[in-house]
Parts: sequence; C-alpha cells; structure tokens
Amino acid sequence: MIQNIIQQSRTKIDKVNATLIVTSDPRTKLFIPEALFTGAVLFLLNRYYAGFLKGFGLDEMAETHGKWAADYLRRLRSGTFSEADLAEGKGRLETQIQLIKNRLPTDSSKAMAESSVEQAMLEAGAVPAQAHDVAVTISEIVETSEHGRD
Amino acid sequence: MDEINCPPLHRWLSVCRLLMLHHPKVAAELVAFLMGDAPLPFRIGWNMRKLGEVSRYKELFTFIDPEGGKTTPIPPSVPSESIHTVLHELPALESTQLWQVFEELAEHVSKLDKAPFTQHRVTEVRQNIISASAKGGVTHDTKMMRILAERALQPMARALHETICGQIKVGDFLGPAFDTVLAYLSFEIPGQVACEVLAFILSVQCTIPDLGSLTATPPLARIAAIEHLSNLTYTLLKTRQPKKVTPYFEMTYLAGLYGGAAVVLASHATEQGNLSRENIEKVEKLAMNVEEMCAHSVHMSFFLPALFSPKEGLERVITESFSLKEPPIKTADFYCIHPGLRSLLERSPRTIYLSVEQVLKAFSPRFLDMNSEEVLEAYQAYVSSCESLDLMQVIKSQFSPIAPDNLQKIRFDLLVLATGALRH
Repeated sequence: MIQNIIQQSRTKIDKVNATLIVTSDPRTKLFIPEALFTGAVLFLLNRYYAGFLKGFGLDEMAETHGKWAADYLRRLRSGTFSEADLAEGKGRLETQIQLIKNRLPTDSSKAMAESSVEQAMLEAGAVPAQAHDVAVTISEIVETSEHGRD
Repeated sequence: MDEINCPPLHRWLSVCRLLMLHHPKVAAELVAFLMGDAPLPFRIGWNMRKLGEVSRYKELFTFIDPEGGKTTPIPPSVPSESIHTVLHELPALESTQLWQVFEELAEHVSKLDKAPFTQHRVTEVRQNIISASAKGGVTHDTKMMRILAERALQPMARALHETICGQIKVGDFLGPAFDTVLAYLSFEIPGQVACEVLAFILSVQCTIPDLGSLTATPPLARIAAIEHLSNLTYTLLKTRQPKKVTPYFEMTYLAGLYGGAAVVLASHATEQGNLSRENIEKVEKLAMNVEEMCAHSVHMSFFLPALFSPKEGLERVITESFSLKEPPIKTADFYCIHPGLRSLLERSPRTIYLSVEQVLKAFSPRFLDMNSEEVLEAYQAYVSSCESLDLMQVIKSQFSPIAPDNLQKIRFDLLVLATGALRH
C-alpha cells in the first residue's frame, strides 16, 4: 500500500514541485533523476505524516520526525542522495503509517498534516496556491488509500 | 468563435505564439531540433554558453549526463579545456522549416480573410515577426527595449504632470503596462523584449514622482511585483485546463510573459543589492519556480498544434511514447496538449464479449479508430462544452500584471501628488 501512495504521489506531484524541494541553490537548475524525484515525494509524504502526528498531540514523536525530515531534506539537496537514502525514506514512511494506523483522522490532524506540507513547499519557493494544491493533493491520495480508511 | 473551429487559423495562431513566445529564431531552432533536423548543441559532460549583457547571467554552464544534469551560472571546478563551448548561431528565420510552415498557413488564413484575422492583419503580424527576428535571439535587442521603455515613459510622465496640475490620471499612468501586455498578446513584440519592457514599467511605476530609474524602486514594491507575477503564472497555467482552445493557448502564452517578467524583476532585485539576504533568497527561489513552471508547462505547448493536425499530433505522441518507453499520457503531458485532445488518448470503452481484434482495440487509444476529420470533430465536440474566456477583457482585472499592493501605492502616491503634498 505504501508503494501505491508513493506511486500516486509521483504521478500527481509534478517535477516542478519536486525540483523546488531538491534544489539547494536556486541559481542552479537540476534535471532531476527518478531517484531524486521519488526522494522529494517521500520527503513531502513524511512531512504530511509528521503533521498528522502533531495533530494527534504526539508532539514528541512529531518533533523527532521533524528533525529526521530536516536531515533528509539536507541529504536530498546534497547531491549525494543514494539508494540507501531512498530505502530509509520508505522505511520511515512505513513506520509513520503504522503509528497512526488505528487512529481516526480528525479535522485538526488533517489540517496540521496539510499545513506541514504547505510550509515545506513555501520554504522551497512555491507560490501560496501551488503549496496549498500540493498539500491537498497529498491529503487526497492518503485519504483514498486503504491506509487512509483504516 | 473558438479557433479550433477553423483548423488553419488554430495552426497559424499556434505558429505565431511559438515564434513570439520568446524570439522567432529561438523557436525555429527548437522546432528544427524537435523535428530531428538539427543536432542538440550540447555534449555529454560540461558545456558553456555565452549569453548577452542584458541576460540574467553572462555565461551558463550545463552538465549533461544520462543520469541527470544541471544548468548553473557558477563555473564548475573542472579543467577549462574539458568544458565544451556551445557556438550558438541561430539560423536565418527565412531558411527554417517553421517559417515555411508559417508562410503556408499565413497564405491560407489570408485567403479566408475572416475578421479579426483579415488579410491586412495577417500581413501585419508577418511583418512584426520578421522585424522581431532581425535583432536579438541569443542576446537581447537592447535598442528595441530602450525605444519601447522610453515610449512607455512618455504617457506616464504626462499623466504625472497632469496629476500634479490637479487632474488625477491613474488610468493613463497605468496604461503602458497594459499596452505592453496587449502588444505581446497581439504579436507586435516578442516575449524576449516584452518581458524586459514590462518588468521595467512595473518597476518605475512604483517610483512616483521620479520616473525612469530602476534603482529607485522600493524593494518591497519589487518583491510584491515578483510575487504577483509568479502567482499569476501559476494561476494561468492551472486554470487553463477547463478552457476552450483559444483561452487555453492564450493563457499559456500570457503565462510565458508573466513568468519571464518575474525572472527579469528577480534579476533586478538581486543586482540592486538593497534587499536583505532572506529576501534575495526568496526572490531567487520564486524566479527558479516560475522558470520551472514555464519550462514544463509553457515552452512545449505550441509545438504540436503549430506543426501538426490534431490526429498527426496524437500519432506523434504515440510514436514518441513507444520510443521513450513511457505511457502516451506522459508524452502528451510533456507537450501540454489540450484536455480535449488528451481525452482521445484514453482507452476505448470495454465490452463483455470481445474478439481478439476488439481486445486489441479496447486497449488502444480511442483516436486510432478515427480518421483525421473524426479526430477533429471529437476534439471540437469536447471543446464546445469547455469554458470560454476573453483574455483581453480581463487583462486589467483578473490577470492584471500590476500587483494589488503596488496599485494601491500608485493610487495613493498620485493622490498625494495631486493634493500637492509632494511638491513641498
């Protein structure tokens, strides 16, 4: 199922958004390879679930995860992002999905999750409507996935 | 009437948009490359292109690698002899395939002589494109930019003078910004010139009463202009989707101008040096964002409708998707084809009892069973239920290039000027 979420996100979050995430110096335009594209998607999905954790009041876990996400972003932008990093991102996502699996999403947890993605996109240079659209897209993918309904 | 109902007009307008989006010769070179008639000027490894003085960067370095690559103004730390210098000489427009296509279509549209694209109008546009191709291209047509900037300043200065005399002339003062957009939309000036002139006007209009100096633009007004144009670029590209063919392509074409002007303004912002480090980073990121938006959603949009009929365009999508081993929809999205045409790439509806031939058809794009006329009719039928938009009518409102905060400031400054407060 995690693969399904990643695949759908890869289809719906275009390369413009992924490029913003993985770019460290805006003067340098990257032609991003597939691994980096998936890495950007994993970063956004992880940000989404970190927001969810916070929305459930699991502040400590959310903070730990936030720190991990910041480090993951640094690796994405370092130019040395590897297959091992990709696997770590997927593993981390899996863990987060498990953590919230038995909790019913609330309006506030969903809002926190979306806001977390929106903030990441704004920091990367997205315009507000674009950042909002990416957040809503991820939210819809997660909601329609089986995990979202669990 | 939507242009899709007159196929030669749709193709001719697509060629015009392709030629004037940036510069006619640059478009002709892109088409030659995409048609396989010209090699890509880059090699595997590092490449260097020299750009003009007005360009954001004087040199750009591009790294090409099968696994990815990048383009940067920062010289790479490799021996200079290992960097391939790209000799960028653009061909004479008249010798290019794109121009031959333009001429054939112009003749066809001229004969139709249908308002507003009368014989006279077609000749006028042809002349504009020839003039635009004579200068600029790899470098900028600085002379034309200066002439247009000075021409824009005259009515603005006159409006200021009349305002000082007590007649508030907000409309006249703002006029040149809208005129520049309209001149671009009606193929009077190419995007390469229009971006620079629009950026100049949007900057100096925030310097009341000292018109004419880029350095005098308040940093926050410049940031507001960049943010506004970036927002509009995104909005135009997002909201074009449910539109008919004419607004879909006009909105795409306008996004090219607004995105380009945002990049020029970002370049001014970083050059002026009166921004905080945080704000410089902000505008550089916005500039990168709009450049990416335009690269993915504007630049390729006009290629298929300019060069091919709807059915031929879809066939090219299928051929290319096979050779690239990617789904046809992905190739179609690369060319940003109109949703009406894209819908014909969807699979045929399945039935329960199928023969082998029917099974093959069921998994094939719908259009493969259609001849050219049927593809066109299906495309037109889809478009007939799409939303209309007269872009020219909303240039001063919904899609105005002037940022709301700056507009408020201009109105306030003119009011203050009229009441005489600035004279003391």
